[in-house]
Amino acid sequence: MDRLTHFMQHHHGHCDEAFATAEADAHRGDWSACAASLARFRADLLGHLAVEEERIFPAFEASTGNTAGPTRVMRSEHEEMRELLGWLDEALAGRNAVAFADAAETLLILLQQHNMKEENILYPMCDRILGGDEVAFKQLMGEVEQALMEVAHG
Amino acid sequence: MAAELSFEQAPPLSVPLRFFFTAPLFVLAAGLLLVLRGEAVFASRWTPEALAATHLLTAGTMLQIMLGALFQVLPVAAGANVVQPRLLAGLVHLALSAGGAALACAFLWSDALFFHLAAGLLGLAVAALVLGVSAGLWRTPALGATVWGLRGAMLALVVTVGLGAALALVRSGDLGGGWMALSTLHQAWGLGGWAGLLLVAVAWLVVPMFLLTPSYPLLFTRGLPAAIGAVLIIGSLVMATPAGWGGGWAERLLAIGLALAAAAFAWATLALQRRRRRKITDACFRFWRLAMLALMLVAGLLAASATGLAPDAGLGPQLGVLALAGVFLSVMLGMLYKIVPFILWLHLRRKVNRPPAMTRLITEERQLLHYRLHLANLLALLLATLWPPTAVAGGLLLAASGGLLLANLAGALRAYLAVEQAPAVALP
Repeated sequence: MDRLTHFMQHHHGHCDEAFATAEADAHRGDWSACAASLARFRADLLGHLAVEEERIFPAFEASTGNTAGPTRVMRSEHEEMRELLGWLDEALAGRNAVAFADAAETLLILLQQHNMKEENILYPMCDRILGGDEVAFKQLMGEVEQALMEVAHG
Repeated sequence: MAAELSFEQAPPLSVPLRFFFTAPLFVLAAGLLLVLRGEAVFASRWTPEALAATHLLTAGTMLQIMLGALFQVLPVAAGANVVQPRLLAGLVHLALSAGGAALACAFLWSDALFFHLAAGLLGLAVAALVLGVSAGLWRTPALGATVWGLRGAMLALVVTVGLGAALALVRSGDLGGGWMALSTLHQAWGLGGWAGLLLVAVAWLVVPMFLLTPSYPLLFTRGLPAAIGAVLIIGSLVMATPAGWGGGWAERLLAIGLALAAAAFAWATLALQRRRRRKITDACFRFWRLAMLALMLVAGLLAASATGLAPDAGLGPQLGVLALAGVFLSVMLGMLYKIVPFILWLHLRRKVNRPPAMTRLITEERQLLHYRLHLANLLALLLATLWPPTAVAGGLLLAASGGLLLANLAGALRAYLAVEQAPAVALP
């Protein structure tokens, strides 16, 4: 039973793809392309964070009765990512390739170590714990898939 | 149990950093030894100087960096909490540093007291580590090939150090010379088991993570460590039979088995790197690519030595240079330059509003400079295996590499302290 792990992992890859395009655009100094690719990355990333904070984490917290554990750390790392998105915006506005590369590398490392913890530990725990209630889990997965689908198409 | 997991068990800054700052000192010492006694180091893998240099790089450098990284990574990547991290790291670090230095002295002076000291201290370091992390590593809720790889690596480390202690007792005269045959197993379990399993377990995570490549195939991540474990165990059992002891069969089996594993891993990693999503070629990428190319050569040399295609003489030093400097030092340098700025950044983020970017703590230019120095160093060392008089150049470059690592780490720490002590100053 790894439906949630599988789906969210796949979406991490989707976000990585958008990130890499924005980073490469800035590296080439193609700022109009970068504006478009960064907007796409922003939508993907923010959509991903929102679906976790509004659907997945509350379900996990309700099931385990723990709001001070892993989900609290994940939420605070989400905050740091949103801040770093702001650094990218500033660099884009100033057309500053060095500042963009600095912010991109910092965000990438933060993002990847965060994803690693989710994919190796938190998502499998969610699959195990939430998967016990088949009806509720099915509904949750429906909502998650729907929300991320809308981001991808929007 | 599951609900107790917090992800907040990252240890205090001093825990990993003490290991990372000690490692370059062992690189410096190895470089100095090459400068002073280079011809003896490259004359044969069995000279006291060669053994001292090898162990300055393995028990000294590699073990420091790998254990420091384990203290940092186990809680966050594997969900395995470490008991009393500050106390344990203090003890392990002290025993490891003193033990590594004692071992080099023991080889150079053929001194029984130093061999006893080294075996005791390194044994203590590993025993303390295993006791401290085992509970967490075996009970972690985390799944996957990395956790199994880490468990295997820890077991292999215990076997390696156990065999090493026995070999130290042979050198000190406490055990008969016949036991020296165990050195084949010591090398196989150390480089193939401990360092090799750790390398692959870490690669499953960091290659897709930092280079934005697709993941390794699931079957491969499960099969390869199992195959390495099987080769080591079967090789050791063959060695334990009367026909296998000294008959060369165990050596051949281990060499061919590990060569195949090394080639498969290097090929898979290079193939993934070609399919990476990230278009930027940074220093970390270059370090990994160099390491995998060196690993290909290691596999080739190992296979050639085992099948009798190449004469044994001269293979030892070349294999040693390629494996230690080419494979492991390359990967460790690339990883340190990602891990240290990240750790410092995380700690800064808790103290100031807008910490400098990770890339400002150790710049890409500094990392690239080290990559080029390291590449020149590797070529010089390979040249010295063919023509020992050039060992001085290899030694100087190795010492410079250790010095640059220390300077880069110190620079990052200085930048960290400057921001930490002046939170009101906004850095770019």
